[in-house]
Amino acid sequence: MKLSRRKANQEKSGLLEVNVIDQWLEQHGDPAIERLVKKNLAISNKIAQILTSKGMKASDLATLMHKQKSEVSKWLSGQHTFTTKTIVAIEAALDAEIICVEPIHKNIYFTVHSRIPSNDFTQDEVFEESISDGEYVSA
Amino acid sequence: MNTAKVIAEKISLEKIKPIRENLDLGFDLKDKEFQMNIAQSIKHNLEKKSFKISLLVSFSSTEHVFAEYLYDFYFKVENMLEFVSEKDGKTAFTGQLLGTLIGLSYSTLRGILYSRLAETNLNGIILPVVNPNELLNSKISE
Repeated sequence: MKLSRRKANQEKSGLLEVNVIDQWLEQHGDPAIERLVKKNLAISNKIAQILTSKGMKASDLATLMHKQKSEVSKWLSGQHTFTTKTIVAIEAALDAEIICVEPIHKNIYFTVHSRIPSNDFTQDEVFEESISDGEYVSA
Repeated sequence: MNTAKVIAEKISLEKIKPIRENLDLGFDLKDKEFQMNIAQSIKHNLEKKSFKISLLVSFSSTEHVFAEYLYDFYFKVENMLEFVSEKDGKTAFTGQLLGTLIGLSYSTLRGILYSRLAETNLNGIILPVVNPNELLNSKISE
């Protein structure tokens, strides 16, 4: 396939730009921000899924929550940083769970007391031969 | 007949002492039949409420004994005196208690040997489950 020189240069510069951004992110990127972006996108996707499963549109959610349609659109774009208050309000409006907090497991422990054996009682000379006065019957 | 009950919480395994560990590494086991022998000796100390169980496990072919393991297991039994009686002028204990202690020792030895033999040509050998009464009857000859 033949490409014009201009187009080829444009593509080349685009590739170069991506590489520069990647490099910059590798050096200066904040892992916490990366996580935040991922979580925001995940929350947006979850809200979109719930709306689909309930046969609703973004405008229906806006009506339910007395919000502007543009605000709900921003939520669904993944560019909004949600507060817990907003998430809970959406959950209440949709009657569905967006974020599930893992349950607390209660552990039951039992204690075993260990003792440090004293040296004297393992000496051979203090032991006498034992005999059995009957048979062992298994439980 | 003494019917004192064995209470697990009153028994403690205090010490495990390897006395003898012999293994002929050069012995070729390929296509050879071999047998396993188990023997025990039980000794006690009334004052210390303790028992010393010695277990001897040996593996032999028709040619010779190629592996031998002797371990001592030291137990304390809080209610030891409840199991004491006298037989032929000697201190005797109920079969129930001695069988339990032998069983505990033997099971522990099974785990120890499974691990000890892992890197040898006896790799994977698991001591068979045996009736404690049979163990009580097979004594280590002095």
